[in-house]
Amino acid sequence: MTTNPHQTFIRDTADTDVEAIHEPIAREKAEPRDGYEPISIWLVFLFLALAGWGGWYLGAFSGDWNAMVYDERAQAGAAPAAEAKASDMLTLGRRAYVRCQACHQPTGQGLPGTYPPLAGSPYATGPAERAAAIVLNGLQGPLVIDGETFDNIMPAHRDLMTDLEIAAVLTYVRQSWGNDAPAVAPEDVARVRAATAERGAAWTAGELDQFALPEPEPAE
Amino acid sequence: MVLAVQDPSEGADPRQELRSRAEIDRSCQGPVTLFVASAVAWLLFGSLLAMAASIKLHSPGFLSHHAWLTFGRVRPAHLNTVIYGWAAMVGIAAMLWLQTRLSRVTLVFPRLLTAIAWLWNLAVAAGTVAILAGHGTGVEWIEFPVPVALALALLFGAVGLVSFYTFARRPPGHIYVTQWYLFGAILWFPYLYLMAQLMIHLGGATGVVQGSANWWFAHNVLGLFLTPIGVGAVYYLIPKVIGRPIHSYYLSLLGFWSLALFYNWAGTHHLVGGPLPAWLISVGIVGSVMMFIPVTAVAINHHLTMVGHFHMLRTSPTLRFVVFGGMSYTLVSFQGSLQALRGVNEISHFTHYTVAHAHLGVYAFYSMVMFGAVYYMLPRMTGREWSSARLIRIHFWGSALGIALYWGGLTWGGWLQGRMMNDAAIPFLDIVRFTIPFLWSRSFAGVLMTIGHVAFAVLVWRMLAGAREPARAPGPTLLGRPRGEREINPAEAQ
Ligand code: HEC
Repeated sequence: MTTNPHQTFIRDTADTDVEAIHEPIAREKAEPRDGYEPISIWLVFLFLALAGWGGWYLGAFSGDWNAMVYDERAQAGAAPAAEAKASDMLTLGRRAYVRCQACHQPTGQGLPGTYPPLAGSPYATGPAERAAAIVLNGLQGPLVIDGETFDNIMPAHRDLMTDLEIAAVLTYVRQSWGNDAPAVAPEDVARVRAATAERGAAWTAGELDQFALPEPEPAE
Repeated sequence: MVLAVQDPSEGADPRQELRSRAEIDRSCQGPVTLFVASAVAWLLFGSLLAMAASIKLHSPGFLSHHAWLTFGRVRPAHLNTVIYGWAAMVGIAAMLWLQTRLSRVTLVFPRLLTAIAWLWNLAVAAGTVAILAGHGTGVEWIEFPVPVALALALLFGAVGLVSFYTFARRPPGHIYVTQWYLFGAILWFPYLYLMAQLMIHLGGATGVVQGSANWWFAHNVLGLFLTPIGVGAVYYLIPKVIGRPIHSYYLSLLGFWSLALFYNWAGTHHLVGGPLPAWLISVGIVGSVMMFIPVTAVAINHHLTMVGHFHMLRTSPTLRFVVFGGMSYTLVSFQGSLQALRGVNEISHFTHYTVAHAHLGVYAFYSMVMFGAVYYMLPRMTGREWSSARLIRIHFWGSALGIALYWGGLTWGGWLQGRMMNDAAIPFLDIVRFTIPFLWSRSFAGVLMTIGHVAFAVLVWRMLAGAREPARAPGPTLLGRPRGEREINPAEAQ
């Protein structure tokens, strides 16, 4: 393999035509050819294993090939769907919280003397209906939280937010900054909204302390 | 005139074979040397732009007083000159020459090709000026304004037709693996480029779909244009220089077709975590990981061909560059497959790690292979030898050490940067400050590579201008003395 036939050929010939050929061309080896060694069986196994992995990955992380599914961990079936929904409420709530954070602050700590904290507040973590009522109609007058007194006005959000948004924001408030209260469902908010439809004024702390939903109207 | 050479394995008349080889190279001489010379000029210009962009990252005041030289323009100008100026032009040169050599016929329409080379230069120059003047499109990898892009697509289409016609005139015989790859590049690139223009600039795709079209294109330029030219060239040059058949035809087949099958899917791995349906990204990830198959096949095929001939890396410039490039191909591809995995991508994405990866591909693999190809082609076209082994050595070590430092620094720094960015407690500015030493290492690496490029340019210039060669022994320019006491056997050299 190491001797080059062309070279001897070049030196031995008097063919002028060939002598005009550039030296680099004359000295190079023949054009490449193919060898025909078989492919190792281990390589074949390796490639098959890779292909198997590919199939598994596509099955596991393709969101059912649904164009609307953006989370690769989403799966068909009930249980994971409910889980996904819960996390969605939190996400939605975090977004909706922009409506509250100017007053109650992104940290949920409020501003001393002006806006009460939501973190650790019994109103935020107490009965879901009562919390929904505050957001729907607002709150005014003296209010004591954690020994500190507030006397300010929170505006009503009845016409600003949907049931879903209020439920989501309350879920977020009730599960953030150390709060740990059950989630709020849009249906809960809807019930309070209907029951307080006639009420225009904001709540006072006194009213809230005895808060109870009126019995369902005898509309049925 | 068609000059046919019989398959050498069939005991062709060596005299006839030599004559036709010489005839073929002569037919290529005009256009191929023009493409190479232009490519080298763009490489130098692109290196300057790269240095400017790199320095700005750690010293923001550098050259910041002219709108033309701001980062947002210099960086895309760098990318487009090195891709469409250097990489594409040297690739076309290699493609044309390899196609004629392997089809065993002379090149057709050399004048047309020469004209195409000039027009191509004009288009790249116009596009670069447009970008620097602030008229870039702002879409990564296709910043050239649409008219320039359409001109390039058209010109490349014409090159493709010539290459195809050359192939069609060949005498019947075996089609070598390099030719498959060349056809891949010829067919895929114009399609990709036109589609990208239609989808992205001319309104075919909007919103999120535009993003996926963008990365489909940008990733495929590398994988279905530069990669096939690079791999095809390696498939030719290794067996050519060491004079030994490619290890296994079956591995070649497997490598080529699995590349064709999987690569096209991989682009969406650039959008992991982005607003794309989950399945689209998962498909991209699987496509990327499946790239282990073609890459392993090619790596094994090349390695087993080389076995027993590694000592020639000491002497042959071509082989040294080409083997460096081939090994980098394996490395960059394996890295790329892993990088596509969601867990890794969450850290590496939007960091300097990605930048290092891109340069490992385009530079350590593709450009190094093309350097090797130029070292092989030009002496055959000009009949001159490379004027200085020392300059070749400077080129090799400048480029090799440069890219190693570049990759090492940015990969390491980028990884840490990504981990810091995922930690919400670390202020962003602290992370920026943390990366500065790594950015300095990148600029230093850039200087090394640029030194290599200047040495390369001097060599090419001397060869083409025919400057008097410094006194040297006849025969090939070797980088070292061949192994053992054997006399230099020129046949083993380049
Ligand atoms: C304009 C400022 C403002 C906005 C916006 C606002 N609040 Fe209030 N909020 C108040 C004030 C002031 C009080 C205390 C009223 C008082 O002193 O009687 C209060 C009281 C409350 C209370 C009861 C006291 C406590 O700290 O737990 C809750 C619960 C509450 N807000 C929740 C919300 C939620 C949820 C939102 C967003 C949907 C919101 N608030 C938006 C100002 C605001």
